[in-house]
Amino acid sequence: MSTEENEMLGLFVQEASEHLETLETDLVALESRPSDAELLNRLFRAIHSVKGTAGFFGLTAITDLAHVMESVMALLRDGRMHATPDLINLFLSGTDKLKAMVAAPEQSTSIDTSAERTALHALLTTEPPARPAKNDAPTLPLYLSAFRIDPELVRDAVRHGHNIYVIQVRLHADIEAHGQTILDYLREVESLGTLIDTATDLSEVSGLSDELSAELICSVLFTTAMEPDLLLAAFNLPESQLIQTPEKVFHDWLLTQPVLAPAPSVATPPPALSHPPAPAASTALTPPPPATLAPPPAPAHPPAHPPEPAPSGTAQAIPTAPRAKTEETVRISVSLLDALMNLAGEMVLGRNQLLRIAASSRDSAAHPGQEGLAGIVQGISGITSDLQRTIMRARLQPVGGLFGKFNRIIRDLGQKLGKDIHLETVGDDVELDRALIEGLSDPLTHLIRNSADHGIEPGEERKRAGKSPTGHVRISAAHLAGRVQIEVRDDGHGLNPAKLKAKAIEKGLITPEQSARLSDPEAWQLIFAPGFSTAAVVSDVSGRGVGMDVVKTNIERLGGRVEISSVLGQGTAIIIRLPLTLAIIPALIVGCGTRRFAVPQLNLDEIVRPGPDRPLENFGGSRIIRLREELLPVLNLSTLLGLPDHATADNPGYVLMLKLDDRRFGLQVEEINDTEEIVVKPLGRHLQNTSFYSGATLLGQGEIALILDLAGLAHGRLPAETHARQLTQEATAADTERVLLFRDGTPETFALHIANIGRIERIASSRIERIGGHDYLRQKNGPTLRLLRIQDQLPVTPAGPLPEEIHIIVPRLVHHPIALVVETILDATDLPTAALDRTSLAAPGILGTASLQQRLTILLDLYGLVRLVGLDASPTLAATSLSSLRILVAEDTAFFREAVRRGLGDLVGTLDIVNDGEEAWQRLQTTSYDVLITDLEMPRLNGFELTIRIRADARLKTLPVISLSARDNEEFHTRATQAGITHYETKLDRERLCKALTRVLSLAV
Amino acid sequence: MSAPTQLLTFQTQGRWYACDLLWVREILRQPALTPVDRAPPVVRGLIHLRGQILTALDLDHRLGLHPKTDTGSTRCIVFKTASELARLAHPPAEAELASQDLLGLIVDAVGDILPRPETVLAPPPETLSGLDHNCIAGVVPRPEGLVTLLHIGSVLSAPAATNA
Repeated sequence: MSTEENEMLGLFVQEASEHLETLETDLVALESRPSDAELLNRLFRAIHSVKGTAGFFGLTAITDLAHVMESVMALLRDGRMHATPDLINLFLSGTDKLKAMVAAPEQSTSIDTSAERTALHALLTTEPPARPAKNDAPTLPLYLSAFRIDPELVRDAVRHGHNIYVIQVRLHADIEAHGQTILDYLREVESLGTLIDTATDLSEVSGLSDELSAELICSVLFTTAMEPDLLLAAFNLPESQLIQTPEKVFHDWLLTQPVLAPAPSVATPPPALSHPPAPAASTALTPPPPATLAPPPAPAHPPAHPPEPAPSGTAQAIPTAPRAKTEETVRISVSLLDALMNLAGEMVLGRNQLLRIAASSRDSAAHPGQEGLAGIVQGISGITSDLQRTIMRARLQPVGGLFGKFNRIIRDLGQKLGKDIHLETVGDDVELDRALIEGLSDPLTHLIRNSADHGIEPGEERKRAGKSPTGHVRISAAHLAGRVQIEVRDDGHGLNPAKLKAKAIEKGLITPEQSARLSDPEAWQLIFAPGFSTAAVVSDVSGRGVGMDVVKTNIERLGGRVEISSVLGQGTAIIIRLPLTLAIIPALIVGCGTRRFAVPQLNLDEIVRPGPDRPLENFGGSRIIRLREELLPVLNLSTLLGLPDHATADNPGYVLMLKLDDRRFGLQVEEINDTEEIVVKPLGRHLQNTSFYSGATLLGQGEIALILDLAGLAHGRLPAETHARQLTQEATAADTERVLLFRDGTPETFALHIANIGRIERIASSRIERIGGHDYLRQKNGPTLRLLRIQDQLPVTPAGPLPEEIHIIVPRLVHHPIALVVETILDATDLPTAALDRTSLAAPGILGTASLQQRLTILLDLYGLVRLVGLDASPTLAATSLSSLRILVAEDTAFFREAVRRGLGDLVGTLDIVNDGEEAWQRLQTTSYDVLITDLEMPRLNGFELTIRIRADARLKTLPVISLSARDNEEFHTRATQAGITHYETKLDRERLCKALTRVLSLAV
Repeated sequence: MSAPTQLLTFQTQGRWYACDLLWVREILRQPALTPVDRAPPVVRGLIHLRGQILTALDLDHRLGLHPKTDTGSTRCIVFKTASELARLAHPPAEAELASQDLLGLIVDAVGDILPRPETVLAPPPETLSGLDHNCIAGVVPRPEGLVTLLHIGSVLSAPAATNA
C-alpha cells in the first residue's frame, strides 16, 4: 500500500516537475507573444495538470496556489485579460513556489504562497477566494498535520534514535471488542514508548486503509525504540494500521522549530516505564481525558531502552516490507541516455565494418598474425550488441507502473460516483519508452476517468439493462504490427450518436445540417472536438476546458492515433496506436532504385516472386496478385513514393505479403536485401506529418534507410477499405445467398445473385444484330434487348468469337431492356456471405470475389454493370432532389444492405442501415429521418409490425414508409396497405426506388 | 533582441546570409544526402552524422524563394539542439525555438565570421524581397554587398509548428 503510494508520489514529482518546466519556458515565451493561443493553451493545461494531480494526493498547499494560477490563466486564455510583464512575473514567482513545493511534497505546506495567491486573487473578481493559508509553519507530512506535536518530545526521540510511528486503532474492533477502553489502550502505548498526541480527525490524513473509515478511528502518534514488526505483534495490529515516519523528516522539521519549546521537559525527566506520564488527548472526539491524566503538553521522558539506530528510509516505508525491494536508482537525464544510445549505435556500425574486413581478410589468404582476429571480432561483436540492448533497456519501462495508478483512480472515482467498478489491466509487462509512458499518463488518466464517469452506468441502470451491477473497465497494452496499441475499454452504455450530435449542435460545433450527414463513427469523433467535453463544473477532478480534445492532441504529439469503437448499450473502446519511438526491431531491408527502406518483420507474412502460378495483374487502376485462391491488392512502392517504376512483366521484382490488422495486401518492391535488427530513430518534426515513414535507421555501412509506415502507406489506398470493415462485421450472421455460376469464354468464373435474374434463354448467336457498335437481340414479344458482354465492361481476359449457341441472362426489375451474354452456365450454388471478399477486387460492376466449388469466382453487381453501360440516366435527375434526404433502411440480408448502400448511398444525404425492425424502431426514437425503407420479412420485428407501430406513434405517424420485398404477391400487397405502408416496391431497382422516393416525398409534402 | 556578437556568413544562389554563430554546431563538407520521397519540399534529405540522423533543410524554400533545381549539396551547416543551446551560459536569441531535432541547412558556400555588426538595417518590404519576414532580422551592409541577417531559430522551426 504505502510502497505503491511512494511510487505514485514519485511519479507525481516527476510529472509535475516537467509540467512546471514547460510552464516556466512558456511563461518566458509569453512575454514576447502575449496573445499566442497555442502557448496560452499549453500554459493552462500545464498548470491544470499540476493542480489535478496534486489534488489527487491531497497536497492542498499546491492545489490552492495552482488553482488560483489556473483561474487567472483561464482569463488570459479566454482573452478576458492581457498578459502584462507584471502578471508574468507573478506567474513566474508562483511557478518557483510550486517547484519548491513539488520537489518536496511532504513539506509543501511550509512554503508561504500567500503573497502570490493574494495578488492573483485580486485579479479574479468573479472567483471565490481560495482557502486561506493554513498552518504555514510545520514541514511535516500531511498525515501528521492532525497532531499537535511537541518538538521537545520529538527532539528527544530523534536524539536517541527512536522510531516515530502513527498507529491507527479502530475504537470498536481493536479496543472495545477486546474488553478495553481507549484509556487502557493509551496506557499500553505508554508502556512501550512515549505518546506524543492522539487525533481522530482523519480528513487530512492520507494513506490510510479504507476499511478503517467505517469506524471511528483514533490515531496515535508516539515514539518508541521498538522495531515495527515487534510493535505490530505487541499491539496485534495489521501493518496497514501502522505508519512509520522517517527520522529525517522530523530532523528537518526540528530545524524549523524554535528551541524555546513550551515543554518544560528536560528539567524533569520522569522515571522510565514504571509510572509513565499521561498522554495528551487533543481533539474533542476522543473521550475526555480522565482527571488522572496531566493536561497537555505532556512532559517528555527519556526512553529506557538502549538506543537503536532508526531505519532511515523513504517516507512512509512499510516496516514489514523490507526496503531491499526498492533497488537503488539514480535519475539521469534522457539526453545523456540518448547520447549513450547514439554512441552504441555508432559502435554497431564500426562493428559491422570490422566484421566485413575480418571476413574479407579470411577469404584472401590469411595474413600472418591474424589467426586470432576472427575470434576477437566475434567477441567485440557480442559485447557491442549487449551494450546496445542494455542501454536501450535503460530507456524502457514496463507500462504496469503507469497502469498501477489507475487502480487508485478507479477506486476513488467509484466511491465518489457511487458505482461499483472493476479495473482490469492487461499487458503490464509491455515495455515502452519512458518518454512515451510519461506522455501517455495524462491522456490515459483522462480516458479512464471518462470511462468511469460517463461510460459506466449507475448500478441500478445496469441491472435494468440486464448487465452485472459491477462495471468493468479494461486497459490493455500490446505490441501489434510494429506499433504499440493501448486500449481503454468499458462495458458501459456506449456512445449515443444522437446525443453526441445534439450536444455538438447545442455547443455550436456543428450545424443541424452537418449533423444529419454524420455517420455513427463520425458522430463518435465529435467527442474529440475542442470545446465538446468541457465540464460545466469547476473541480479538482474534471476541471474546465480540458477534455478529450487534449487527449487527442497529446496522443498525436506522440505520433499516435486515436480510434473509437462503440456499441450502444454495450460499451466503448478507445484505441490508441503509437509508433515505436525507440526500439530495436527486426526488419527486412528492401530497395527501389538506389533507395533503401526497412519493413518491420512483424507485418511481413511472406515474400512472393510473381510468376505464372501467381500472376500480378493490372485490374482497373490497381494491381492485384492471385495467390492460392486469393486475390490480394498490391501497392507499388516506387509509384507510391513518386519514383520511376522499373518493374516489368519479365522482371516484376518482389511482392511482400503484408498483414495489417486483419487486412492483407502486397507491396511490390524492386529488390530484397537483408534482414537486420535495426535501431528505430524517430524523424524530426519537419517530417512528422509524412505519413509514409515511421522512422529512420542506419544500415551497416552508415547509409540511412527510412522505415516504412505500412498503415500510412496503405491508408486509403486499398480498395473499399471502409466498406470491408463494415461488411466483415455484418457478415457474422450465417447468411447465404443463391448464386448462378457461369463463364463467358474466359478463364474467369462469374456469379450473379439468382434474385437478380428474371430469366435465362438459350439463343443462336447468329440472331445477334450489331448496330452502332452495340449488340441487340430482337424479341418476338417484348422490346429489343441490348446485349452486354462482361469483357467489354470489366477488365477481364478478352474472349474469342462467340460460339454458335449462347445464353442470355435477362435481369429482373431493370427498367431498361438489357441482357447479359454468357457462353456456359455452370451451376447454381449457395454463397455464404462471409465467404465473399469485397476488398481485393473492387471495381464498379463487381461485388467481390469468393472461392466457390474450388474456383475463384467474381460476383457481379448487375446494377453496377448497367450503370457502367451508361443506361441509368434517371439518377442525375433525381440526385438534385434526393441529396438532402435522410433515409433509414431496415434490411436483414447483408447482400441487400450492400445493394441499397450502393444504389442510394451516393444519391441521398444520409443513409443509415440497420439490421431489423427492432433496431429501426430504436433508431427512429433518437434520430429523425425523411423516409423509412424497410424489408417486410425480418427477424424480431418485421416490416408490417414496424409500420403499425410507426402509424400508432404520435410523432412518427406521418413518416413515409417504403417497403421493399422480394415477394411480389397479392397477399403481401394487401397486408402492406393495411399496415399503412406508403409505397410497395420490389427488390431492387435503383431507378424505380428513386422514383418511389420522389413520389412518396411529394405525397408527404 | 540583443544583437549577436559574431555572425557566420554563408551563401546560396549568389545571396549572402548570416546567422548568430552561437547557434552553429559544425559545418559538413559534401555530406551524403539521403532523399526523402513525399517529404515536404523544405526537407532536402537526411544526413548521417556520427550515429545520429540529421534533417537537412533547404534555405531558399524556407525563405519563400524558388529553390534551385540543382539538388547537389556542397556544405551543410549543422545547428545546435535545444539541450546544446541550454548548456550555453548566454543562449542566443530564439534559443527557445530550438527542438531536440538535429537540423542543418544546405548552402552553396560558407564565408567569413563577422564581428557584431554596427548597423543592422530594416529588411526591405516583403513584397519587394519575396522573403518570409518571420525569418529575417535585418540587413547588414558590407563592403562586398548586403548580407541578410536571419532569425535562425525561426528558419529552423517547422512552419507548421509555428503557425499552429
